Amino acid sequence: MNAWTCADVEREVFGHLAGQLAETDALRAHVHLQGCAACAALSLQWDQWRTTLQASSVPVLSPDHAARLTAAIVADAARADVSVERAPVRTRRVRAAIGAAMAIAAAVLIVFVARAPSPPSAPVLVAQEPSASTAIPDVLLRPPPLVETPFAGPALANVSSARSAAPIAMPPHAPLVEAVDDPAPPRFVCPESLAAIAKHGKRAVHCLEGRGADAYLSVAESLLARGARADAEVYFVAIGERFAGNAAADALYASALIAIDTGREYVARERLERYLATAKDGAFRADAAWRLATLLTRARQLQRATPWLDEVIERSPSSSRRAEALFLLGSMYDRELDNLSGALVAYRRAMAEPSAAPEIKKAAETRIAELLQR
Amino acid sequence: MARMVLHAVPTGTHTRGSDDDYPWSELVRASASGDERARRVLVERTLPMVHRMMSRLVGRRADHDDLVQTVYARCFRSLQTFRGDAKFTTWLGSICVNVASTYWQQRKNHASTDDVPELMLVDGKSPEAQIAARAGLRIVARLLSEMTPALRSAFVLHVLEGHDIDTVAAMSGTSVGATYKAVERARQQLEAQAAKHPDLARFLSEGSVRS
Repeated sequence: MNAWTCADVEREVFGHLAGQLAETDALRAHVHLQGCAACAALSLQWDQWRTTLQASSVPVLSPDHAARLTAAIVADAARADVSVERAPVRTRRVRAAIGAAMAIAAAVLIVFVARAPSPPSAPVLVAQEPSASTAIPDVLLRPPPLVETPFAGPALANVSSARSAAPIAMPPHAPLVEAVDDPAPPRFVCPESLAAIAKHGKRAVHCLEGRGADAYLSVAESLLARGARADAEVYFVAIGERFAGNAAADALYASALIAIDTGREYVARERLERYLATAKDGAFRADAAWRLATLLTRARQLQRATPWLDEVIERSPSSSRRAEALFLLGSMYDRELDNLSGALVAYRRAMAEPSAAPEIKKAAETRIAELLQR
Repeated sequence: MARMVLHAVPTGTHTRGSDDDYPWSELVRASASGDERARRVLVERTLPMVHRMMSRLVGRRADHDDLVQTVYARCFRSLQTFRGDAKFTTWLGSICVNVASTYWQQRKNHASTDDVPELMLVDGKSPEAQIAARAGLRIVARLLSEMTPALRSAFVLHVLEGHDIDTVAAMSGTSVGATYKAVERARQQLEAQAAKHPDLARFLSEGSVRS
């Protein structure tokens, strides 16, 4: 039996601590640890550290939370099934032919999705290089402008206009240890006027306790007008949490727009989903559905995006927006669901939209020609 | 056939006993065929693992539940490709690693204020212990967030989740040798941080979060 060295023990220390070593290796480790004080100390130290880290990093998952999450996941899966089943699936023979053709043809949607490099072992999507003929129209790569907003057009429009002029200054990361010794903050005296409350930004949100949604809204708009988006977001979120009805839903939507604008796409998606779940007849529903669909597409959750694309197609008053949604839906059928007829229908409908952007029409035409050639 | 069996599982009353009654292979097959009840049981059975693993891989964040849902969305979308060569939990774990990896890559492109994950659970005996634990945990969370995805997932899966190296390699889609190296480098980084921060060393050594 070969004796273990210190390097062997260092390499296998966690396997040893977890009792995962084979019998002979466990014996070798034991023998080495008996005679090597340094390795014994390392093993003991990591035994303590591992236990502490394991014990301190177990998240709380309450039964209620688990039940909610489970219901959402199962509903989500069912919704994805509906999207898949809605359009007819091609025969195996055609699928094989298209599989071969797809090896040559480039992905369209993946261009949209693959802004971030794909992780090495992506189990679901395989990024492919786009070809010139199938590149997705630039109009779909641009996020929708932030001018169609629930609150005081000029106010939240500032979010959009300030975007290029004044990028958000992110504060540096909080100090790691020093914060422990921070003294308690001085007592904050709430001012009376809304203007004064707005002056203190998010620190003063509690000063509006007991007031109506209008007060929160006034402060939020005032903050937006000053370009204080992060502070305004706090007030919009507070409206969404403390009030009901259209005002709350629209505030949720406004907070989602700010999250989009500050690059927090996961937060934005969660808020848009909540908005769409609550505002069944919301004024911004079609716009929210489009934004959510594009965010989900960028996050590679293509099938989750499908129902929202459907909603855009059904509800959006904008013909050009409907054309964009139809094109994305066609790409989804084409690339993800392997559904030729569904893709052709979607591309053709995109072309038929009276106000479809020329690049959408051209890209749809190209894709149709390529699909028909298969 | 699987549907008939699974319809006997009362929704929302999943217990350890029902785990044993319904083998993974049947659950997976029925879930892949769209059986909602099977999916529910599958999620109930695996949610604690996925929830915990995602917490450890990306930290506790506002969008944590969203990430968990993403894992299952990918799982159900690819379930038909699961051949049963590996354990289902290993396969699901690989999706967790993948989702976390994508998440970190996206965060890299969109740095924002919530890049440092929230503190993990602290269950200290005294306020002093809590403070020490918080400081330690913040450093650990920060350190994990600064590691490369490969190092972070190797460390989390092997040291915190307790998977053996072969399983970690399978989940991460890397070689066993690379996984060993990643764990070793992560370990060295944590040791270096502990040498720099007495609070962290005290927290790790004394286990001040333990009751």
